[in-house]
Amino acid sequence: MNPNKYLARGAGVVLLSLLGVNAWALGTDAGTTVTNSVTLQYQVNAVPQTELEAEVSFVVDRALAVTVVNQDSDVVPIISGQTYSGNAGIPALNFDVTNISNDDLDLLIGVVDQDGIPVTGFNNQGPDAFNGSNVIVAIDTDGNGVYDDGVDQQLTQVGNHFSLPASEMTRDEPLRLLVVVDVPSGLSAGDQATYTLVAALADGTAVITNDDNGNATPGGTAAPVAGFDPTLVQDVFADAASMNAEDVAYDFLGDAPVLSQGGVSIGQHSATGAFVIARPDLDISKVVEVLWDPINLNRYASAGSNTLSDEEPKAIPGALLMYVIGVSNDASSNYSVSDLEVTDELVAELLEGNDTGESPGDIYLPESVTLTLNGSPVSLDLPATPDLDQVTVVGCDGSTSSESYSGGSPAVDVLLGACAPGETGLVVYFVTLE
Amino acid sequence: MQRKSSLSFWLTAPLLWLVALPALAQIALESQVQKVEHIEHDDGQVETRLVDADSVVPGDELRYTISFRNEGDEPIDPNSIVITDPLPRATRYIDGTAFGAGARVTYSVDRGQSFADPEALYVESNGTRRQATPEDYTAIRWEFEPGLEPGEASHVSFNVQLR
Repeated sequence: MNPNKYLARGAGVVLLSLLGVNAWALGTDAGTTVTNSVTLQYQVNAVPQTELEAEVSFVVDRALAVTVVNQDSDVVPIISGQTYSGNAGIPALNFDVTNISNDDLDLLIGVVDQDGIPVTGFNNQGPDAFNGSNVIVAIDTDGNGVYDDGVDQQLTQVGNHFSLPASEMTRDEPLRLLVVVDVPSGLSAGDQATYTLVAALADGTAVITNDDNGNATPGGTAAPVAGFDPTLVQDVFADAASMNAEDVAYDFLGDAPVLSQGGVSIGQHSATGAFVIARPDLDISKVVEVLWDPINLNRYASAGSNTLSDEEPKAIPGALLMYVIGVSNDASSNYSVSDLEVTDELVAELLEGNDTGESPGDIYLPESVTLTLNGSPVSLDLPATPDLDQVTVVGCDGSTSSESYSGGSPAVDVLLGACAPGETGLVVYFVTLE
Repeated sequence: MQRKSSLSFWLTAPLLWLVALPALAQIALESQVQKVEHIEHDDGQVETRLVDADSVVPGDELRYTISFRNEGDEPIDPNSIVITDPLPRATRYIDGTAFGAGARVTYSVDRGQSFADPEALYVESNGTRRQATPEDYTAIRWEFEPGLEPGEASHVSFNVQLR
């Protein structure tokens, strides 16, 4: 490979640039003729002479460069068994691809499955890995960061890679691309799948294999440096090296990954993101308390107060017991859950609801109970006046409802609904000891 | 790429031999553009090289060199040589690069209608008048104090960045 005039000349030297990677962004269009005209005035023996003029011109060459930047702040949670066809809101890896050349150019997009290797700066999971199937790349048409089938425009697949025509891009403006996969079933939480997106400069669906400056794309052959011709538009690969070791290259001629970090002036650029099987960190806990018995009466001094009555109701026949089941999705969980269902069976000695004969208004409930959830004590507020003959459900969103006992087995069978990270729901019901 | 422009005053009409002869001065003027590369070595030393401007892309630094030579028989008057160079479009002047031995260098911000020292140049920007920066310059002028004897040559130069 011939020395790259723009970035280095052999070992030990670095060519300094006036500007950074985006030096040519919004730069003068390739093919523009830049002319400098100069005039000279002078006198001989105090007599002004005719003004002289000279000019010099050159044609601006094509600086070919593309950037790829992963836009995910961390690994992207995804659910085992999830498929994208016909579905909306599918988690995707987000990449911004920008043509920073001084000409409109087509791109080719390659996606490299790197099993579960760590991504620099991410909270990587694993080490177990999985491989997605039916990998696609789509333009995030509605800009919501997730894949919506039928809305977000899939790129045309060409062999193992994809084609992104120049008509879909505005020069120097990032285009958000989504990498979407079908996820195998039966995976474990924390399994990781790492993907690198590679964008290469192309004419139509043909990769630009080399420039006129002695550089070649992976799999291509460098051509001799073009001779001095300021009237000819020459190509110059001006892409920077990919940022991290996992940001590998792609041989679009052989249509296969090149598992080494993308270098400078190879006509392509890459970045990496990763999926991880969601790990909703749910916990469930249950407490029971004797609220009332026919001899000692109430544990609490009054309704809605945690002040004890100095009595100690016992679990004797005719006593009323309160069960509280708490369900928590830990704040560190990386995924919301939905359709939570709580079931609980009653042993034969427990009668559903208040069968004490005591008026419900004379049996006092505390203001709150404390359960240990996800390793920490959590104080749960109880409804002020629950129906002692119903199952009371307080959803993660704070809504309260009363449900009947199932009438079968299990006796308690209620829906708690959705629960986001950090939210807790609870189920409260009462039984009478036979 | 360079182009030469020259002018001779060869008088052939016999009648004109009776009047004062214009000087037989002839200046050859050339303009050249090269690319400037700054290369940092391992020891931190930065080397500047001038190479052919055959691969020029936005962001590149260019040097324009204007050379002139008195190819005539008469000396050019002192304080008479003035070179004016409107900066090429799509370029920006790089501060401090204008060179001309024995010349006073002034700049223009109005495409060469007027020239002044940098501290005397002002531009209107968003309705506010402010002192011009090198990015605002649109032309450079060199006014030479020395003359130019027959056979003598000189040059001026300046650097720009391709936008």
